[in-house]
Amino acid sequence: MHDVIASYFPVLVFGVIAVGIAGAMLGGSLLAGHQKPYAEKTSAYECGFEAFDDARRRFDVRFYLVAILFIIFDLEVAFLFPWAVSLSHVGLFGFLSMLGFLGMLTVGFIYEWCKGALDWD
Amino acid sequence: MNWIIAFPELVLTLCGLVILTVGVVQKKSTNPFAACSMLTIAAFAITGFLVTVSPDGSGYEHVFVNDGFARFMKVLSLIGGALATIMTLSYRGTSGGGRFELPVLILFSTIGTMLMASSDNMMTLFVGLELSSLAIYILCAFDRDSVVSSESGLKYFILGSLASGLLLYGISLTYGYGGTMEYGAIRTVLIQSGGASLGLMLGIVFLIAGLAFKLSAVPFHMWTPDVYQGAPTPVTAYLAGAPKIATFALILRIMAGPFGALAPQWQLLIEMISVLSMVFGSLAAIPQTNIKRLMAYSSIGHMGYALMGLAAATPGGIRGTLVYLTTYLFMNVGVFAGIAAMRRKGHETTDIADLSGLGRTSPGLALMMAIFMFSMLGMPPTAGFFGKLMVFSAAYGAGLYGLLAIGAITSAIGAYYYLRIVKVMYFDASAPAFDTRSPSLAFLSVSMGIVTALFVLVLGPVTSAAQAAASALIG
Amino acid sequence: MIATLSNFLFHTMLGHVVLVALETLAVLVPLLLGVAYLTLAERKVMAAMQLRKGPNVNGPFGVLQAFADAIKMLTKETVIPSGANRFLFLFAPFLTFSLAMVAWAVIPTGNGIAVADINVGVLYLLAISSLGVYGILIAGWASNSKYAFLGGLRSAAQMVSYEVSIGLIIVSVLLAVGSLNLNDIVLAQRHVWFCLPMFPMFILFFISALAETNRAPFDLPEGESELVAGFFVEYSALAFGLFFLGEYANMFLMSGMTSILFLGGWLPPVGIAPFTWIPGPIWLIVKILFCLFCFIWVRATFPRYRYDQLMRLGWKVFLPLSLAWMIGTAGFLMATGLLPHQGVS
Repeated sequence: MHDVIASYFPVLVFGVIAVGIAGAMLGGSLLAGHQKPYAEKTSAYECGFEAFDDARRRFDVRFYLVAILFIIFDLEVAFLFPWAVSLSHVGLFGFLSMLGFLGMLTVGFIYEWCKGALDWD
Repeated sequence: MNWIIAFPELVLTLCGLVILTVGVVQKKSTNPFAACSMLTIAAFAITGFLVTVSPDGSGYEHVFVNDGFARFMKVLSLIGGALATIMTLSYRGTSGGGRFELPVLILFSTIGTMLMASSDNMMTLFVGLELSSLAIYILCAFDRDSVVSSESGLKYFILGSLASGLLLYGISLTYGYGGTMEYGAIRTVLIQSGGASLGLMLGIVFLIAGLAFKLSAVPFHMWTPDVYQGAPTPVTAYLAGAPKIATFALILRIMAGPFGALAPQWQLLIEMISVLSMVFGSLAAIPQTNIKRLMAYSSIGHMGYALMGLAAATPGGIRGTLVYLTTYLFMNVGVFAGIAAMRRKGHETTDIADLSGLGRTSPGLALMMAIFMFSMLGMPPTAGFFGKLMVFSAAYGAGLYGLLAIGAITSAIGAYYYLRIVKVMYFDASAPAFDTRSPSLAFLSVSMGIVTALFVLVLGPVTSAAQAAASALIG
Repeated sequence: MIATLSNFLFHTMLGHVVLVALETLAVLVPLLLGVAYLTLAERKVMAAMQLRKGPNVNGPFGVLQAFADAIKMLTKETVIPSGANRFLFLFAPFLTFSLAMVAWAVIPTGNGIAVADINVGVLYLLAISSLGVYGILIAGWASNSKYAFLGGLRSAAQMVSYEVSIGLIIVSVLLAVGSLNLNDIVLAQRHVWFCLPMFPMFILFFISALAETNRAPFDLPEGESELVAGFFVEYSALAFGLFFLGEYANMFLMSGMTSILFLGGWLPPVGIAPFTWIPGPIWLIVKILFCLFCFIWVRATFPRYRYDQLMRLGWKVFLPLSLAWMIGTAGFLMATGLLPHQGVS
């Protein structure tokens, strides 16, 4: 157990250094550059027009749909990972169980497909 | 791996997937709604047969059990599902025309209820309950173009997630303090330790709270009137039937099984819930003018009566509860078939006043409704009488005289609003006649009326089946 | 002296940290240099393909162009739009760039040689590369500009769509390996690289990698002709630079993943004399460079996809194909008894 945690220690050091480099670059740029903001410069780019309203408003529900589908299928993949590496241990029953699970998801996939949830027009 | 004991569930799941696929691959021009409904009813029938011949046993690493009790509850759930599906045949949403997902969702929800009836582990309990509930959340909001339907679905979803949270909290407390999620093992732990720690008691309270929510028992009833009123009528009929029966299966199984040794502790809790439900259900129903809301309060009261049998904590009490649920299932479907028939010029009307003079404009429907109302209040010789008789006598046998007295008083109060409907139908000035009933609704209300009125003929077999189920549980 | 140093490095806690830090820099410095020169390489390669010269002013053949760009970006003004959320606006590029680097912690450059040889390396890579979508979403939202917002949404939807097939393709590989450790995955390819038996998955993975890094022909989120650079339209100076570098670092990462999963990582093509003389890291670098060249080659060759075509390709072609291949692989390995028996202890 201790060894497993110890093997992650370099990840932590790596992360700290990477974050440090990124922070140094961003901070260095803020310090090195000559900052001179004014109203026209800091207004949002809208092809030369004045920005007429807030950009954070309602957007297409399809993005939400894609997110939901992603969660379903990504969870499926998350189930597949441990199954894939232990397939020789779980044997035929494990294989068939996963096949059943995937079959059920496939029916859901067919349903989405036929309902047009995957169309983007 | 004794996987064959879940064969009926597997068959029903497979049928559901096939029906869903069949429904969705149809061309846009053909509406597969009727075909899918018929297929669903057939699937229920096949599964019902498989359930009755399924063997006893436990499997899947002690998460799934099949015994007489599970079979009894599963058959009731399947009947509830099938009757609701028959009712959907006549269903037309606000925008007209049914969508085939309706029967399929009822089917999936019923699989959840079957799983609940067979749970032998807190995990199965939760998975079954969620499977059944998630489908019902969608079903409640099924009429997408109707504001009340969407409201009903959303309310049920939000409050239902809260209840699931409570339930999960109870499960985790039980697991934490008991060290296991298997019913049998929890029972052993409790017997060995000679009592429950405070944490485990807290866990049981949360479990009861979560399940009482699904039963719509006071004080967890607040969702019931709005959801009943807003949901499409066949969905309300389903909601009041199979899921409640399955929740009863859960609550009976965990109270009699793992927590059986703690009966003196939880008995008081169940008694209180039962009393509150009976009192609240009968009093709050009086001022209602909408029949679906009235039925919601009525169902709160009925859950109180059914819990009376559990409060007795005897085999006789459990038998009483089971018979009560059986009678409730039939008369409930009958009433909702009547409500679904309340349509004028294609629009649903759900005010009690709309029933005025039904005795003259539609004598057949009025007669059936009158039978259901008499049964609901427990008038002999209708079905409701026998259910009430059995739970009351069990309470008497267990010495719960206070509970018995309150039950009797609330029944008398209930008589007022049930009889008011009969009065409106037969003695008020006639309102315009309803549209012609569709064959499926006529079939349902007539057949349920016959079952309710002549329940005495099947009383023997039902009671002995319930007796066998109860003894499988307490044994 | 040497004994003291080695004692310090290998037997004290602080020494261990210093050692790991040195290893980290040994990976990050070449990586950052590589990223800087990838921008130049891209311009040069594209120029060659279009019969132009490309950058040729700064230094011989323009080799100092990368540094000129860096200095220019460093000294520019960081414009923060008035409607933006200042913290998130600056946090987004920082996050994108950090993640692109952090992922390199687990990439093995030789047999058992990695900064962190962890037991679930593939999961780590998948997790870190999935987090990349946050930087883009945050940037799109924090800018409070319509182009940025739309670009961010499109980019997020595109990345998550292709991530599903990437996950399934990785599962196919894992079936043949039986371990989540990246070193084991490379070692499993001693006899044959996975790009041969799993050629369709190799192609699918490469295309998904293009989509995952928002590269041409899937560079819709930036789509300069309609979204004027998408989610980073409001960025300037090194905040912009970090996005830019992060994107190129992600290309490196995806090339690294392709090399490890399908091209045998640090293994030579055949295990015989002249090839085995060349050390593993060189082989890995050669393979990564080959993949990067393909990235640029594709950009110079293919026109941009339309958004509906992109989503259709991801959900209706790649997902069913990779799922079917995964099931087929599992079934084949089960039937022939070729399942690996390592892993799972």
